[in-house]
Amino acid sequence: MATATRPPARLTRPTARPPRRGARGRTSLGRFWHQYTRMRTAIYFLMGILGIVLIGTFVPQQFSSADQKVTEFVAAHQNLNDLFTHLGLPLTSVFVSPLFYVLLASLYIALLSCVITRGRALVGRTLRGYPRSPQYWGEWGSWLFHTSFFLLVVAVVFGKATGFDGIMTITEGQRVAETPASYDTLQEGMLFDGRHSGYVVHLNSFRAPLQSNGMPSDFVSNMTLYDSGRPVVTKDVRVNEFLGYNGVDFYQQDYGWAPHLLVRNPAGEVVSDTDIQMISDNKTASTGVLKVPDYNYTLPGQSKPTQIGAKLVLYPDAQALPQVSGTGNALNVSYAPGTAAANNPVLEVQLFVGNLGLDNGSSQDVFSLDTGAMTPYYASAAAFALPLHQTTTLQLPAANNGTAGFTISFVDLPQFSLFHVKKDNGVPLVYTTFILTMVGLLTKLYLRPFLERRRRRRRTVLQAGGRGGSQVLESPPTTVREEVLTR
Amino acid sequence: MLKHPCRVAALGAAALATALLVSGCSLQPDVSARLQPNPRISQPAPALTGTSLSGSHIDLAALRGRPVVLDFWASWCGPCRAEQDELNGLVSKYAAHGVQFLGVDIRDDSANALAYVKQFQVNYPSLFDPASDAAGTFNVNAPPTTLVVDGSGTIRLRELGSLSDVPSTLNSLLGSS
Amino acid sequence: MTDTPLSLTLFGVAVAFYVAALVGFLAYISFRRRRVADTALALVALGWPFHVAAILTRAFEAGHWPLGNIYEYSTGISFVVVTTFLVISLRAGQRLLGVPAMILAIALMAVAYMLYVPPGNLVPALHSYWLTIHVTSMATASGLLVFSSFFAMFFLARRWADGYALATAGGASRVGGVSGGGGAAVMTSGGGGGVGGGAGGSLAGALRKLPSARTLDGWSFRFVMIGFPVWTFGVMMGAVWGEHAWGRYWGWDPKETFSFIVWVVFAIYLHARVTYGWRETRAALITVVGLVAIFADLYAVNLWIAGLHSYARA
Repeated sequence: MATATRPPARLTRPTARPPRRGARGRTSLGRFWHQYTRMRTAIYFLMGILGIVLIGTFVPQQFSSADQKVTEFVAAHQNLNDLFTHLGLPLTSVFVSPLFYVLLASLYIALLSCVITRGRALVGRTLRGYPRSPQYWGEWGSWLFHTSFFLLVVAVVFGKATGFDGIMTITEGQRVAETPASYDTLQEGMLFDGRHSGYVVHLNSFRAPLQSNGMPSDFVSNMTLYDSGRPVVTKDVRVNEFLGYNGVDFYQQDYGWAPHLLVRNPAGEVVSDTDIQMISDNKTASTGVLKVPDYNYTLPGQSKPTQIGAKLVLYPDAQALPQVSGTGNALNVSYAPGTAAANNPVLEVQLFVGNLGLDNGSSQDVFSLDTGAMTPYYASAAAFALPLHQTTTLQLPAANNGTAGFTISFVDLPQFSLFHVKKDNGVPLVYTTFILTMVGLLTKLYLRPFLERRRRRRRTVLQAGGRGGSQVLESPPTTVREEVLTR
Repeated sequence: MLKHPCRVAALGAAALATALLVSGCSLQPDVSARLQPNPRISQPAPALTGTSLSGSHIDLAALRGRPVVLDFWASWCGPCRAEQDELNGLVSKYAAHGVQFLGVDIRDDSANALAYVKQFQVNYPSLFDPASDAAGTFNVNAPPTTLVVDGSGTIRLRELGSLSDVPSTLNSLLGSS
Repeated sequence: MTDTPLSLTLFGVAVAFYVAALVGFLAYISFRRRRVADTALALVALGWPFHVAAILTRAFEAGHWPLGNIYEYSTGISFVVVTTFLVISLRAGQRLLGVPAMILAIALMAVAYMLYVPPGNLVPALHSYWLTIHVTSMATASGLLVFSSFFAMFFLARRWADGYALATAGGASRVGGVSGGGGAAVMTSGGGGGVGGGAGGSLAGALRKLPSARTLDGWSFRFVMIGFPVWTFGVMMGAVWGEHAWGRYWGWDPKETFSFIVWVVFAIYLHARVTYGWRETRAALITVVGLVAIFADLYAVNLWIAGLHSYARA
């Protein structure tokens, strides 16, 4: 931007450019426009973009880096971040910052201006019967290259604005409709018509076979897609094989454990029977939260029913550590992670009793437990171990100083699969601009030298034949390999 | 300026791009941050049939002739839990006037939902919709969303996270019939 | 410990030849005997088949296209570098190019060895034929674009040597040696005069064996002309792969971002050169920035910045 406000003294300098709309009454807006759309200015815009992009590589970015890193960075560089945010460049989201967009838009305006000017000149020359020299083709190549870059942005904007982009979690055996309510996060384009497909996807099974080194060799979701109740596609979806149907695409993104827990209250009623999504980096130990808001049991002396919650740690291949207390009390056993294979699944359950804080109307993160209004089930906040297919019976206070037993069962250990779901009708257009860009670039860089070489060879032949005079005169100079790409 | 059509075109593109990019800053704003549109108000309610939490058959069309309050909810949804007492109050006030109440339990497990029904003493049926299928046909983005459907099967009200306009809508429907 | 795979043994033999060649090229700077340079070149040519064999056997041992982790990738780029060097030196007689080419090839292979991973399965994200297309073009483009920087650096060196010769020729009595047959006379006659002048003269003399500054600048441009479209193609194929695998063709992942930076640097080079006639010194400096960006893209992003491409480390 700084260059745009520079006094246009340079313009008065004689330049090689023919004074087409020249000195005759160029308005100050016209001069600004001229400066603004000059290629030199465009290069400064490019350098500005480069700078921002560099910041974006080294500073953790929202949506692409881990949330925790972003928070840490903001906490550590509060003042710096505030300063840059005021300047229109919030450091943790530079790729969606106003400054970045202004620079990009400026660059593309300059590009559009250049493409139009050059395109008109080329068409004019073609109509006037300008000779089809190598240079002529080179200029068309350059024009195509720059035009396709402009079209690329049009294609990207079109695709993003008319489509949507979301994350969806499906547990094995579960069916989910492609509709806003089903997404964990969803972004819709400004021009998206709001009509989601309503296709129902069923996760038939999920598998992540492990190699000898403990890493998965593959992870595969077997899915069936239903359109209006009819199964239309069944496919193994993996990282490089997505499921696409009528423009809606499902991409395998991540997966994890989803232990199936069943909780009965002291009356023996099932109050929770659900799969709990666990999160982890390496699948050898993952964490999650159980919330039972409708426990339907009131502790003695209280007016409202109590709620229970638990912090869970899952070891699919639990390795028992030497017992801390040595008493053989199962409640004091602790585990270490083994492999990611479900050889010995054990849940460590840290139970809390009280108020989950859900009933005041707040929306809660499913991965965190607000224990502010809860008390640990055991005074020491210790965890107990719950192996797969087992049920633990615990006691709560009951009337007349009695106790009431309730149970938590680890019923099953299915897995969940995380999908990136999107609609982007701009993709074919983007690919088309890729092809056009390559054609333009190769024409510019190679067709011209190729034609020149051929022409030179022919001229040599003609000269050898002794009648090449006029041919030589018609040929453009061949010593200069490069010419003006734009303007 | 008009002598230079290319310049005018470029200025137009500039204005458009700047408006698009600088104002919104993102081409795909988060849906949850967006105001709930009212796309289906005064439109006929789509078909809604299925099985209730207790296992009986439910068909919205069979309730034609009377106003229906349709509430999309889930047991894990804090705002749903917060407004359930208010909703129960509406039931005791309007059920006697022939208003039908119908819940749609979305993205939920039936045991958890039944525990909710018991804890809040919900006395109207709920259609069980774990795949959010019905939520999709009714264009419901998130619970709690409450719709009022009149006796002719036309959606007259849609509210997200609030019940404030339900009584007045019901009053006008009951008054006009 | 398991046995050393055949591919690693062949890799070691190739490195040994290249190290010997580098010593030869360095000796050539000092002694400036054509035979020394030819011997060094022959050593490179002898190491090259081992390099090819190392890559091929690695492919068979691992059972996939051998560009699936940073060991394989570094080995691949060094292969492009050595091959390009061999072609240029055989066709255009550029012997001195052996110094930077061998330093780079050996450095790349040293990094490859430090980050060695035994042949094994690819991570699931790489199970795709796009690996072949995208990663091969990126490795090739990297290997080619570094030569534009090499020639640019030679251009700067040659410029310095020309200036040095001019200054010495103008200021001292040792005129004849310099303007006559290069720096040999300077070195011998300068022995008594000043050590600094002697060393500088020696280097300047060697550098003046290089082609003219203008020719070097042309070579630098030619390699941008070859490497830039390949890089463009590689980035685009990466976008297609990203769309195919993750459902987004661009996500400002660090690796993507850096490949964009490299692309922009060379795009600026082409525009600046072509439009302003920013040739020679300023153009040379841009390619040096490009070289830094390429290596940041190759290693810094993989090793220090976490992102979707981080698996390439494993």
